[in-house]
Amino acid sequence: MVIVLSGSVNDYKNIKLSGNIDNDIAIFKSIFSRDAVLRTREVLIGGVTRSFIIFMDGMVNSIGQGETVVEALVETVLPQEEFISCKYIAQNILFANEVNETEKFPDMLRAILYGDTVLIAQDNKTALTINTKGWRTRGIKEPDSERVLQGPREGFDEAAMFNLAMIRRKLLTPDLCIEFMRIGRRSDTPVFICYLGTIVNPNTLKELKRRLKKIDIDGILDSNYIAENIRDHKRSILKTTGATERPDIVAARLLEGRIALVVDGTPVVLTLPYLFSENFQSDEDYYINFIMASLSRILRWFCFFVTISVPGVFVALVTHHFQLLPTHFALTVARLRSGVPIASVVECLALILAFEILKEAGLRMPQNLGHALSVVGGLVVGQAAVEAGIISAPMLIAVSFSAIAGLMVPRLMGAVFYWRIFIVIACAVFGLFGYFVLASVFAIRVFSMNSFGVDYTISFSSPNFQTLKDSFVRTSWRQMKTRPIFNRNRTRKDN
Amino acid sequence: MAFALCFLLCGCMGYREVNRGYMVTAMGFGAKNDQSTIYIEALSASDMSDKKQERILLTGVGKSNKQAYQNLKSNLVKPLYFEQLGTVVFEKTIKPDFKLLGEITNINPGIYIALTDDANTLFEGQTPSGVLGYDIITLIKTREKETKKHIVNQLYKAQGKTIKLPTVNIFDGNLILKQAEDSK
Repeated sequence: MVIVLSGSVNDYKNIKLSGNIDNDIAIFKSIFSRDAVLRTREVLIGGVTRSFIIFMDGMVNSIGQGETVVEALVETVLPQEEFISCKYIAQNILFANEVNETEKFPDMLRAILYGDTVLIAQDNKTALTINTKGWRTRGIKEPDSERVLQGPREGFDEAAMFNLAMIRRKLLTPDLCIEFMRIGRRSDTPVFICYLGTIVNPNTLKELKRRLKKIDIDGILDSNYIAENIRDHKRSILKTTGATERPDIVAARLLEGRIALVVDGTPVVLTLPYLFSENFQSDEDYYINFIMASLSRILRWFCFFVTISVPGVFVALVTHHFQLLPTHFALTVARLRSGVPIASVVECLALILAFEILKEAGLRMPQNLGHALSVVGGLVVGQAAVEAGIISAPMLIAVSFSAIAGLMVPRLMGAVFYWRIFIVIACAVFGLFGYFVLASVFAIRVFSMNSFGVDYTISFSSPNFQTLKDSFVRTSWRQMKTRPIFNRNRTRKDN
Repeated sequence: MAFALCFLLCGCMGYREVNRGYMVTAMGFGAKNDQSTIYIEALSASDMSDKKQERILLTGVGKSNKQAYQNLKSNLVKPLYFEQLGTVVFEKTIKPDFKLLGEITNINPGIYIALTDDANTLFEGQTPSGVLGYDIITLIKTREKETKKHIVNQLYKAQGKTIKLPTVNIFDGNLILKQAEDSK
């Protein structure tokens, strides 16, 4: 038989077990001939019938495998019949809690590759896949990127099954649907689609599945591989799929009628549809008093406008519109700028870039080095540059304030950087006129976007007051009677 | 790309640097020997070493206001920024001429107009804060607050009409604001 190899387990779909155990085990060995961690062991079932167990070293729970498979097989007493079927072995001999019989060769390969044990027995044209998964995981830790002061502290890890269990633990309802599929020609990555059956929008679900089926990629190593493939507006700097490492966030999203995509091998779970207002929401908003949460949210909106506007507006004021500055302030700026050899706009762009470099360097550094870097980069170099007259203090203050304000909206960090740059250039060329034109263009763009058929700005473009209650502010749960507008069952509570 | 764009576009579309010009705070029109004289009080930041603003008094003389202004500008090493201009003073002996002001772009439409007996003395004299432009505005605003009346008409509202203007003079280092008088 000629097998055309594409790297997928499906390449072997035409292979069948012959029942001759020596030939069958030879097939497995030839497929994994260049894999040093494949293990095969011959076991005589009840001391009579030949069988092989096949598994990957390091991916199985060795103790569990020994107790539930090997020990069970060796110590069993067989009936007088000559032929021992796989079904008999599964039902009467093995202690493992999950055993499946299959004749499909790709399923056997998948099982081996995913930490299960495959058992083939003499004269059987089927095999048993036994759940013996036992690889190590990172464990439940609070995600560094989504820390809260109050509320649940658990975060996903890289094992999808454990992640699903964490979601399931939050939503103890049979309405929680989990669909399974595999994506990636070579990685064959398990992907799980989670939603609440009675409130999800079926059109969104259908559209998601259509897009997932269209993905043709070698491997999925992180959920972003999928996000980039299924998102709307592929070239936009704004994200149209949410991402979180927290099971409580996923559960909350599911309760709003959204869909979650759990991808094996990454702690980041995708949620969709994703709205613009979600960029300003924090997990903690729902765990603290709604008045304080609303204040935080308003601050985030304010900081969003500050972070994209301040550098550009400042450049516009000191290069085009002196009349808008109080005389003393204009003179102070002029005085502090005297001797600076570069134009304000270049100075501003250089500072924005420098801050991004510092931020990026700090992110990749070990935590202790990161602190040192921010002190050296931000304070020492900044102050030295001002004293040397290379940059002016007012511009440094404007850009730093803008950068700090940007940290209030971490989900928009990337987009904010580009917007800031474009606005600075527009302000340098056209003054405040350029600012307002570009701000309008951004606003029009944001309002024209959608995520899986749902308006990106539906939470504040709709005249419905209920939708506003979780956008600019977070009102009390008593008042939030409906779910977001995009699902079919909107009633969250009756009174 | 962005940097290249900035370098290419700096200087376009009215791009200026706040520290690379004289910030005009007051302007005066006078006449001497049938010659028009223009006085400009400006503040410069870039020339200073002691971190205080430097007051610069510029004077231009010519046959007309326009000529005087051209002569004044021809001696400058840096451009004049009129955005912070707060006060324009005319000598009582001349007819207020707003034509030149209209030709200067970027003038704030909310400037105060005042009369004076002698523009030269006013501009050359020492005022309380050291900046004539500020002091005249402060004086007028204080008087407006006291009397609860707008005693000065704004430039563009006044064009083509007979208007009452206050008189500002300097006496013993003090600015004195007189009752508003009809301008010529």
